[in-house]
Amino acid sequence: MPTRVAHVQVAECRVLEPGLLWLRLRAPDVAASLRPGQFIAVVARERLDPYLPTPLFPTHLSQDDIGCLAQMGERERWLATLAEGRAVQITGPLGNGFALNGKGRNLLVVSEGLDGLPLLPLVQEAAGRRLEISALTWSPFSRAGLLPPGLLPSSAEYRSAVGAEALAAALDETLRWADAVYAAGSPALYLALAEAIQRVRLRYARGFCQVLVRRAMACGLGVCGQCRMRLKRGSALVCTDGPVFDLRDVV
Amino acid sequence: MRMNEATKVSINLSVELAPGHKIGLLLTTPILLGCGAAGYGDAPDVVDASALGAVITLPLASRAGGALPRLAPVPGGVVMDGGGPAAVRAVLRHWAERWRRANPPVIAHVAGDSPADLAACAEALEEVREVAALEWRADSLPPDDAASIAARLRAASDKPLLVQIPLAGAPAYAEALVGVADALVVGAPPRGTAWSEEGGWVRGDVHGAGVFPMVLDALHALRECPLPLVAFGGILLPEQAVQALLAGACAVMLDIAICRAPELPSEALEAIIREMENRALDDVRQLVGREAR
Ligand SMILES: Cc1cc2nc3c(=O)[nH]c(=O)nc-3n(C[C@H](O)[C@H](O)[C@H](O)COP(=O)(O)OP(=O)(O)OC[C@H]3O[C@@H](n4cnc5c(N)ncnc54)[C@H](O)[C@@H]3O)c2cc1C
Ligand code: FES
Repeated sequence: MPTRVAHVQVAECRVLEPGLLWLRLRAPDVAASLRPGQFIAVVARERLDPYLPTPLFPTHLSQDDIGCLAQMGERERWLATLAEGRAVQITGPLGNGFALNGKGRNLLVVSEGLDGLPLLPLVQEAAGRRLEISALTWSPFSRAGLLPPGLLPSSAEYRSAVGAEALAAALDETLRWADAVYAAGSPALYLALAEAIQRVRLRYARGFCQVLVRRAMACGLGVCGQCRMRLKRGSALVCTDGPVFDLRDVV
Repeated sequence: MRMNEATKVSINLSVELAPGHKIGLLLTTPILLGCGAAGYGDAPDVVDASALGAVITLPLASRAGGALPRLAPVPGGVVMDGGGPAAVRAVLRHWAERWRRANPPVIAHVAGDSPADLAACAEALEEVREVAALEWRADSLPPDDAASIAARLRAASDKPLLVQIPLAGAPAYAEALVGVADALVVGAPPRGTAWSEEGGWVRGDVHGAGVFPMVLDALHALRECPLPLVAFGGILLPEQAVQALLAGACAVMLDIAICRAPELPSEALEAIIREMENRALDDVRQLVGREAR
């Protein structure tokens, strides 16, 4: 679906808890064509701050609306000031999203705390297709930042792990069962995943594990080169070649 | 030539950026997409390419620079360190075919650590017909050094040469570059430093609303300059494109601001056409420098 620019309305905007924002945009032209893992860039043109559009990962997709549950860092803070009915400009869909592997029935979804929020539409889609889902949420240090089970469909199995050892153990247990893995988190998580896959599985085929990479972006359109990252071979633009990459290309 | 739909009078929007050059650099509109807003010569799909006179590539060098880019948002702008340039031969392998089909023409932004590197990059592009011209940034070099490097580039390439000059002290650069450059880009983004959200300082180009008054100031200071001038920096509003032309620029180059306003190229062109109608002008060149006092 081609990327388009749309002037849309804020349908809902609420700070759910410190640092966590719920934003719903009425955007029928873009919503219907968004795939899980793709993103949009939001800007209010009459505001000079922020100067560059803010990339946002939709977490709840419907035919007409784009719902985003987002952690608020410096770049997202302005979104919390948007009143209902306010017009903003969005560009999207941007990037390449997750692909649900046609053959696999058992999906392992791994999120590093709330960095895993962009995985939610994928989990919803998989649940809709009656696939088996095991959702593992991990935090390196404490239970505080884990993805709450209430955000997942009831059919998904929920697991959590805190610390590197617990992650390795949980992965060892679930990777044997999984036909495909989807993950969102830090490079540390991806390294642990790659090691676990090599440890547990005989074959580590391309397409088995897709991961979402985040990098500071400027244009989101593949023209400024600011989001360039190194791959194992060569380099790629996170905004247009990604943000979803095959784990084998990243680690 | 375009037809004004209301009056059915045809108007000329084309500008020549290298009148002293044997081939010249004739653009169909005075709107350019600058380095960092058009990838390696590909305007983003959300931009109406028919509004553009030319696109400028990201920096190309004879060898790839290894550094990854970084950026730090600041109120009203952004500080961007573009990282190392791409290797010209790698980019040619991937992009030359697209340039063949490209409309608008492509201007290659060349970079290098030494005059010899720069010349090597220009030479690699010499046989690439699709590259209509070269652009080089004089950065913080003193004017005479900038002129001697530009002369080296000139010797390495038959293509028209645009030189980005610093906004501060623009007249001294212009004076040194007359007879060497075909056109001046006014100007190279100012340098700045900002703290990045990811930690650490980012040192690089400042893009933002505050830059445009500096560009206008430099254009006024250059009103006696015989070279064509291209306004570059901080253009966020269509009327600013008009102001730049009135202040003496032959063309405007839009920057990363197009990602907050993808319609800006076509809006800027419409604003220029409206201004021509208001002043009963049928050639955009008659607008250039009309208020340069
Ligand atoms: C907006 C935009 C920005 C881009 N920015 C870059 C970029 O900055 N660097 C880049 O490689 N590709 C960039 N690309 C991709 C670029 O167009 C080429 O595809 C790429 O340079 C070719 O490299 P390659 O991986 O195919 O390997 P080759 O063509 O064989 O290149 C050889 C090696 O040099 C490395 N290399 C090439 N250029 C650079 C560089 N500038 N900095 C560091 N290493 C480099 C590559 O990673 C590769 O490993 C960009 C593309 C777009 C659209
Ligand atoms: S953010 Fe500009 S190229 Fe990716």
